[in-house]
Amino acid sequence: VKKVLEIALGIVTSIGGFLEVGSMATSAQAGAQHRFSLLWVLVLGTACLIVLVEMSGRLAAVSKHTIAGAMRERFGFGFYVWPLVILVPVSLLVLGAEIGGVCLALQLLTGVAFPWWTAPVALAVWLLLWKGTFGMIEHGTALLGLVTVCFVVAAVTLHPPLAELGRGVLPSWPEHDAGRYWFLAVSILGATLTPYLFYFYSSGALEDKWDESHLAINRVVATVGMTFGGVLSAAVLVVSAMVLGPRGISVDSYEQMGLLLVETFGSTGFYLLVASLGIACFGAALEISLATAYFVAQGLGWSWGENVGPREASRFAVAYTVAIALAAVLVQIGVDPLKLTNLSMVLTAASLPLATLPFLVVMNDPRLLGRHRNGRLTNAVVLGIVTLAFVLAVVSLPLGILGG
Amino acid sequence: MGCILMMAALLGGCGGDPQQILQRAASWTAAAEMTGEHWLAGHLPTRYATRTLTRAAKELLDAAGRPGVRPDALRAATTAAETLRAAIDADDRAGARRAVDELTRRARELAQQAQEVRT
Repeated sequence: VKKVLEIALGIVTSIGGFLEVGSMATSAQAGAQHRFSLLWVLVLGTACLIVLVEMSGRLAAVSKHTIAGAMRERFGFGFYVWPLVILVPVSLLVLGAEIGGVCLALQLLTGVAFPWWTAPVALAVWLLLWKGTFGMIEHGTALLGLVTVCFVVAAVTLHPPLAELGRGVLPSWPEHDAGRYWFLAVSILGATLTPYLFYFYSSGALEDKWDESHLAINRVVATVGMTFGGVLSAAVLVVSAMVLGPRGISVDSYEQMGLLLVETFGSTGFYLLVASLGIACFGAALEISLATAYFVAQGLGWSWGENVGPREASRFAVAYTVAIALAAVLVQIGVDPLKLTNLSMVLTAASLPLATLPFLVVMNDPRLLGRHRNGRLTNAVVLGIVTLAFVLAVVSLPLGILGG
Repeated sequence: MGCILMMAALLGGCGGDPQQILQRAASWTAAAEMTGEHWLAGHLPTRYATRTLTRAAKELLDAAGRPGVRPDALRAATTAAETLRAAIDADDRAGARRAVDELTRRARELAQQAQEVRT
């Protein structure tokens, strides 16, 4: 019974914590501008995410190492410093986008401009991390995040044409705006494969004291939880394609996203959207702050852990405090949150090789994982999709700049 | 340095292509129209509706000042968005209905202009 409960909680946490500002914004833009034709990117990204999350849980359960810790041990600090100096700034941009998402939800609700919300939101994120425990942060926000299931209800209610949906799952060449299409494709991959997700997962597995008996739970949670999470992103895309696309609304700002659910749920729809955006982004802001602090602390050999408290892991606490403060500055100076989101997702995709290739090497190390090391299929899936994301990111960044 | 320049370009938004300007303007006009419709149906709070219309009017006015586009339809759409915002502020439902109808026409016109530029 305990195992079943653990699996159920893990799946619920994965679903409730899946949507964040990047996946909501990129899916909404993709649906509004290209109907269902970018669904295949979500399928591809989710498949790769399942593999990466399963790998990170397996690494923690078998070797008792986090990804960052194992990377540092395997390659040494001289190598580790490269992922550190590239991934941490990208994570800060993503954290800025998430804090911006919460502020925008509050702006939609109250009418008070989003920069005014930056300090209170950043303070709330910091306070929860300072006072909270890992379980409270992981499960609490994810349970509240289940409100995002409203997108699935809306997508079903809108009766999308099934044949067209089916065609969308297969890769296709764009009928128009090729530059924008590929820029969105890589943004979706960046949003789906955000490294913080699987770096956070491995640290979380150690915080929860996983061992080899958790391997089955890990496999089920990674597969079922991430699949349902992918369904949530697909639902946002479908709703946007059915509601905003036909009117020619291309989601150029978060204000336009406020209209996504009103057609299906009436006045409740507006508040469901605000709650979904606010809660999903708040949960993601907590997780990215922690993931960034884990990455820095584990790499530099500091004591770390959300469950041990700031007194025992003071430099770890300083790391997330500085991360939150820097990300908040980005929002405070009034950077357009949607542009910040798109940019951070593309840069995430561009940095994926640095986040995943050393991880792949670690996962093939028999000294760390013994008989639980990666198989050829797992390596091929990750290598293929990460290469695709990287090539698309390198190609689409100039296209995105040219296209504004 | 190159990375910083790319970030600045992306975050600043530099879409100077007339087709993109018109598409974006058509999108904002349609968003203003949908906001008005759902406000009339009682689905949207007044605060959100007026804020969205203020942003729409600003975006449309910006577009009208860009080179390479005919400003007439854009200025008319700006006026319609501002009229709708004023009507919502004053709780004038008949005035809001008329402004929504005007925005419907302008959204169609701008989408058509964007299509013409593309082809």
